[in-house]
Amino acid sequence: MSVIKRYVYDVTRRLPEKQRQDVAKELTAEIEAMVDDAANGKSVKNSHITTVLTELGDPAKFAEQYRDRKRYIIGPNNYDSYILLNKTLLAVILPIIAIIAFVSGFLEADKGIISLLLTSFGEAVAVGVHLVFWTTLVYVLLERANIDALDASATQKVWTPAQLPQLPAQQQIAKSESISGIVWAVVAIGLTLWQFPVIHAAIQPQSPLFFSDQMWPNWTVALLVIAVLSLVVEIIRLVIGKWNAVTVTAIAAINSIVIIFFASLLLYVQPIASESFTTALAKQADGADIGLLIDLTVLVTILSIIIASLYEMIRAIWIYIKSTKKEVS
Amino acid sequence: MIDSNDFVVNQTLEIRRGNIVLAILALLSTPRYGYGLLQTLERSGVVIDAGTLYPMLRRLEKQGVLDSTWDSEDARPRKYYRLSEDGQVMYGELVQEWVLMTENISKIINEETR
Repeated sequence: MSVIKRYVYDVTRRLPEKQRQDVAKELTAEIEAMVDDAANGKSVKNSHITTVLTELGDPAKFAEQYRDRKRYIIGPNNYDSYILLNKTLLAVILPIIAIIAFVSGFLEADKGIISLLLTSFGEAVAVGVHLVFWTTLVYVLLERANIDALDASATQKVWTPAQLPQLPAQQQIAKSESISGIVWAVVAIGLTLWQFPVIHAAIQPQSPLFFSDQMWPNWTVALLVIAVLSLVVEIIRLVIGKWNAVTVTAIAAINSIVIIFFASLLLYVQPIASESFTTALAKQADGADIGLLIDLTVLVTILSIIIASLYEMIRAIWIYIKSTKKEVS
Repeated sequence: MIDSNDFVVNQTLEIRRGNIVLAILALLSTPRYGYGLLQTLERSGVVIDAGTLYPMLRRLEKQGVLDSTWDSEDARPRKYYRLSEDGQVMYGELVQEWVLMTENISKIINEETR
């Protein structure tokens, strides 16, 4: 009989404490009934018990059946968004990390190109491991808390037609679009923080600051504020998931700020890049006229940002107008 | 492509899983304990693992479909389950749905294979 007790114990120890006693009592009674039946009126032998317990099977699986919810590390509800997020993060961040590592290594030390390439590749891999680890950890916690990531409708119990997914036409905001937007905003926040003299001095005092003295503090802080605002807008976009008045207004507002900011940056701040950065780069380039090149790069970058913001703003408004027209007709 | 044998086995499991609750509720108009219920089901050709049935009974009780009482008068105490009052109503509705569905499906099968 002690075998039965051990079996029951092995099942119930996997259950929540308050269920244990009750399940143990019931399970013992059921198993005894099964054993009696197996003995068929004769005296119970160990072989009868073995037969019954074998039929019942692995206590772990048995206990699993008693749980209200199946245990997953990452369940089917969240699996797709988990994979999508990992792919997007890796595809967007790793190249950026590699480039940053390459450029900062290039500015810092006299290393050969091969070793620089290897170092930046190594950095990218290390960051990749971190990315996957932390994303996974977040999803495991979500799973334990029984939350559907990226699916606001799942938290509402009563179904209403409002929860119907949008048709895969253009008025739906692609999740990958919002996610890559979030990633870019986070990168921008990181790079801007790096340009704060205090932080820069603490992390990498040997490399020159990219921003010139004229950029500090007002312009750099403003840039940080803009990056944080864009992050907020991207999150709103992700949560709402479709083009409506809120998303369109938010995007239009933040994009206007971006355009005004960079346009005035272009007009008022000269130079944007610091002298020590220009000098360091020139040293690497054998004294060629690097100043002009940097000015040109900064100009092209800022103009691209302005054009991209304008484009996105117009596109958002256009899609929104089109979708409201469709609903009316 | 999936093995045709696997396909049949999987689909049969699905059908059984969908119908087994109905069979259990039907039998629990009279009080039964887990293993007794399992044997009755088996005699009617409905096979279910003890490891599936016992947890299912507890779940149904938690959902308010079943009531349970411990019978300690026998030499061996046993936990008897039976339909609760709410459970009886739910069972009635479920039976209606089931009848409707089997009628419809049979109709489709008969029309198409004629």
